[in-house]
Amino acid sequence: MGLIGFAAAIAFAFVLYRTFDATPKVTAGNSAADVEQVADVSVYRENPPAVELSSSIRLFLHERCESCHGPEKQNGDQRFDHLPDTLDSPAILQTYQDILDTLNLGEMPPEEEPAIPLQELTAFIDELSETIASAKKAFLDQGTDAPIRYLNKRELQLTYRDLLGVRLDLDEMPSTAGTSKFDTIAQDQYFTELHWETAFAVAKDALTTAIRNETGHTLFQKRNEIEESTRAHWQHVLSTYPGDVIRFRELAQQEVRLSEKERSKNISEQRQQAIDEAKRNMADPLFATGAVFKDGSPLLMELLGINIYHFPKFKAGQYRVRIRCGTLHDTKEQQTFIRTAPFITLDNPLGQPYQTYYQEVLAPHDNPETLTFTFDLTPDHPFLRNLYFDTDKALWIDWVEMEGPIVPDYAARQEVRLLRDFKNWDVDRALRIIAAFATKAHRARPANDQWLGEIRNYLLAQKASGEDPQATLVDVMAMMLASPQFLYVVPAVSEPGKQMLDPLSVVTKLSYFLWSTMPDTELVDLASTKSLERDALVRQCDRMLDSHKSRQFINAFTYQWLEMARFQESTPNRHVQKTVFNNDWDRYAFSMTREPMELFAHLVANNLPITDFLVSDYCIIDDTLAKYYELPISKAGGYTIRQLPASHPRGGVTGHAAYLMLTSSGPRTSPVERGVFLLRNLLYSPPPPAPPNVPILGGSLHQVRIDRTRNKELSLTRLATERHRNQAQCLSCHRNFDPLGFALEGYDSLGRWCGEHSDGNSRLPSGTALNTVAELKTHLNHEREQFVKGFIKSLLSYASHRPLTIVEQAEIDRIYNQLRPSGFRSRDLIKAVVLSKVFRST
Amino acid sequence: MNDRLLTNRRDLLRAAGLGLTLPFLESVAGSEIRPPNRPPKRVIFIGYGYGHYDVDWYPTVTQPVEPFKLTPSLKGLESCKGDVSFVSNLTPTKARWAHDGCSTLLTCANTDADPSRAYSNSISVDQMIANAIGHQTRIASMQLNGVDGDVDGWGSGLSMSYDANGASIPGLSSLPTIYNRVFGDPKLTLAQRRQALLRKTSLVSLSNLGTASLNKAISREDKHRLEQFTESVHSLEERIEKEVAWTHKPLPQTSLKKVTDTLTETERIKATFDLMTEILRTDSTRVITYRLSSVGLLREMGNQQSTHSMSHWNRDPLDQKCQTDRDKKIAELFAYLINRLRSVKDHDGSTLLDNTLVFFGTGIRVFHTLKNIPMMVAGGGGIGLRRGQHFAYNEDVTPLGNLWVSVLHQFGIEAAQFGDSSGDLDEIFRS
Repeated sequence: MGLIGFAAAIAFAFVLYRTFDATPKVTAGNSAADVEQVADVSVYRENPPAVELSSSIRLFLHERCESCHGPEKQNGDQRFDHLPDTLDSPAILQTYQDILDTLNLGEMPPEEEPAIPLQELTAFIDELSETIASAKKAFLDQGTDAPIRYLNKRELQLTYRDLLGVRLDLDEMPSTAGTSKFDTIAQDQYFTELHWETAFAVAKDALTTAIRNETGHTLFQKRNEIEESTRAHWQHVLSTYPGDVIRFRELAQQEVRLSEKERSKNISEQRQQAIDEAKRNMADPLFATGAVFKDGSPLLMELLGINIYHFPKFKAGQYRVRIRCGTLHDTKEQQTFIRTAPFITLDNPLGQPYQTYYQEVLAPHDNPETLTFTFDLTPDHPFLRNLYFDTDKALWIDWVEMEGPIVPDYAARQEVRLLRDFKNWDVDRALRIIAAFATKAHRARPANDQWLGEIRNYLLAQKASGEDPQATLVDVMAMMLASPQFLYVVPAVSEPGKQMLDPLSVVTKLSYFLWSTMPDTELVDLASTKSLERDALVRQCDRMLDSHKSRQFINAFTYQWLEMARFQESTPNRHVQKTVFNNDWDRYAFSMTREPMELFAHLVANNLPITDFLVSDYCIIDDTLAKYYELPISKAGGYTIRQLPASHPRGGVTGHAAYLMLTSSGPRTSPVERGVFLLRNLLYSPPPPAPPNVPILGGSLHQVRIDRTRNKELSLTRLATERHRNQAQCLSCHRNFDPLGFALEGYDSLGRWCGEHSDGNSRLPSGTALNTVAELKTHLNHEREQFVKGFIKSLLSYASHRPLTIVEQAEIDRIYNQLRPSGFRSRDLIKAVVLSKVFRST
Repeated sequence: MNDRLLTNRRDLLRAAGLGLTLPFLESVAGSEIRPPNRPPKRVIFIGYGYGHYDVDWYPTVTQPVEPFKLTPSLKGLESCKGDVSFVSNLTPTKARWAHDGCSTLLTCANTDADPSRAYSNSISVDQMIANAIGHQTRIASMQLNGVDGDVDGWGSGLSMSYDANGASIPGLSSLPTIYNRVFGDPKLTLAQRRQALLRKTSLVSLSNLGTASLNKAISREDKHRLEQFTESVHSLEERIEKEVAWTHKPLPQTSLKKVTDTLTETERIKATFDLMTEILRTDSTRVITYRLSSVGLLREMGNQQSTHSMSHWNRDPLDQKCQTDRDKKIAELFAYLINRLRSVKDHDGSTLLDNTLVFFGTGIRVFHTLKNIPMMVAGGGGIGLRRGQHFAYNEDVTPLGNLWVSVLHQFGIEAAQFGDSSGDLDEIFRS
């Protein structure tokens, strides 16, 4: 016995020693040598990328560099005459990148050597940058496979709504480390432990809530005639306050201390004022059948006449609020709005039309209208605290009514009810529920028998441990909602080895494209037919685009395409909010954010040309923006079409206040930002990224001010930006986009039109003059092929979840040519994207 | 790797009837050999986006080492001047992206190195430390984020930390979530926690089994994508295994209340620092990274610029003020953290600050300049850090990786090289 113990102790000590000694020795590194190794990786397909240097680049290198970096001398160990002309390996790419970097840093040519003429150096840097960018892109194209992706947060929220009828907050879920524009791109995604954990936790919450929703919910319903509560309050005032007035007046006389005297006198006066107001209001006919409200955010419970300290516990779900109301305006220009959400909902994650939570009151008080709002209560936000009134004068309300929860139908209703009733152990029944749920949750792909077998074993084990049956079932169903079949959009091919997707995969992809949610019964039924006819797909596109559920796609796509997240940042300071926006900045921000989305919705609804984004003779705006743009108001409510007078600067994205503001820097405009935005998002030729360590522009503001005394027409901004023209490494890129921004200098940093503002010298390297908005629009119109092809490409990318490569360029050109005769109509464009080979294959 | 080894040993030892000695092993086995009474070393890496108004932030360089004199924007550090050192002229030599302050700060990688991918990275220094010592604490390392960082110049990535494959490790920004992760649910008994964890393991592996049914239908390339799922599930299983191994130890206690209300940005950052202090005090982890966000601070101070606009101040008083406002504010917040750490005592009477290294910097000096970046280090008095000094290295050529190599040395990791390093800066740590 002792020997065994001794041996064990030795073993123990030995093991201890091993771990004791386990000092990790590490060498980590990412040196230049690694770049060479990458070239060996056989990620490149048969044809390696082969971007060639142009002869002008070759010539420049020969004439300007090789005297010190060639056969005779190799200064700094650099030699350029042996460099290959084709950029077909990472090492060569790196060498040319190093040459470019050196020039951008201004390190070459050295000061003692003759300077290179500005134009020549600029042209060289420009061309070399473009060549390297093309080569990089070629490498990227070779490296991309078409991966599958998991649902992003937006889609997950909507899918849960349609599967379980539950609204969730997904703040805990990690976002993607996005480098792409759209949140549907698979390349950005990286599934981690945290994703699984949060997906499982969220699923459990959702199932628990769904069960609760199915557990005999009592409908809450109440209508409150406003005058009842307000008049009751004034009755109270008129009966009790007169006594207070006398009491506090007497107290003021008796009291010796000055502060107490003052206080009592004040209370007495306030009470008297309240009495006077109550008397006035009781006599006022407006208060006989309703009440008058100014700007504010009254508590909803108060408006419903419910005790704000003891109101009922609301079940999570959707509620409806109806308000009968009218305006009390003096002039036609005044506006009144009601909303049920703070302005955070600008982003509108559930893709509802904004009328569900934000409406203008158009009817006057003597002929009132009834407005209907819907909102969601979630477990984290179990009551709607306020209604928000935003009025230029006053609002009159007759009554307020609320009812709910309204539980709309959802796909897994039957299974949730069975789950609700599952109180005793019955493994076979449990498996039947699980199998049925799996098919619905996994979007018509049934669970296979082997998996169900493993689940059976788990259930039996839990039963043996005496675990609660319903809790176990919830765990298993939550696990299914944390599995790839739910979380990932899995494309299945119709035949092994082929590229074309099977019908179910196509309708799923279509559903997530146009609705950002799981396919409904009609789509699933369609997929069960053997093959998907073109006509059927076209019909579905129309049905889906006509439904309000397509607003999710319209809003999300536009928001991401036009970088509206940057607009959220552009809050003017308090002084500007007061003087320019009349303390209504939130309302303006809301209207401005919606403008491009409403434009896209209008184009799709009416199948208008997509080029109306570039140039148009109309605006889609609401009255708030109409006032801001100094256009006539329509009193029609919501976003409507307003024709523009001829040669009006607005019309198209270049006139959108959101674009003009997000590209400004505080009180200054930034022609650089405005130009880059247009190049990147409308003309789809993004400039190379800002070079690292570029030397700081010389010249102080003092110098700029001196320049200005010579040229009073130009703004300080314009003159400061012009300083980029003095240095080749800046000019090479800036000459391509600064002029686009200069043409828009007539709009100030708040997007207001102040009249043309130019010196007549703004032009592109090609010679195109860009001095007025009209000239800019002519240029954009001229480039519309670039715009349309770029738009098709980004739409296809959004729909297919991946960046597109050279391989797909032919398909994009084909769609372009197909749409050209009819003028690139928007709805037709979307249909063409859906019918394309790219969309229908993996 | 170490976790697996521990668990197998556990089984061996349990079989040999030596289970009672398990707690002892936990604290001894590891790379760091120190006297049993000495508190462990910790490290916090704080990064932010966009550079500074250089004239007021960076101290003038006159000597390689001299006492650190506070510049106008750093006056907020007055109360802890003696605890902070400034390191001038470090450069992440491979950095290429002008608006990317955090994503290569701890990796010093060249993100354009692999042309077949738009972006690639390598392991971050905190993860190297976590891999060495993470098994000694319940949580190997934590990655925290401020809010609204998308436009704050952090660059890409879900946190400042990258794993051995160069993949971004997700960070937590919700204060209640961080709190729950560390302090958990005290109402459960030991048996209940163990049972819940074992149940979770079964569910996790069931979830993974589902992928088998998918394999037939999808293409080969897509299978590779699903591997991410399988790998996550495996590492989750490993983490649960570790948690099961730790269930014998009670969850840490704290008197800190969970923050649930909405706060101003300053309050939120201070609450995060309070939470970090508690996390380190309870030895829940020893490695934390944090990305500080600035946009909330600007709004709070009434500025309307975006952080990007702020960073492109020209020599105009209004723009400059926006930048210096932010600079001063973050210096104050840095001081707040230092003072909090100093107010907590470790078991041997030294302060938490003495045993923690706090790094504070970004990968952008000013505008688009990615050389000679700002970097401060505080604390570590008990470790040997030379504090209250201004260390100045050669401009443009001193790799940032040299600093991280020395930090690795401090944690007992014999690294010859890290990132872009060409040597080390051990002299900063030699008191």
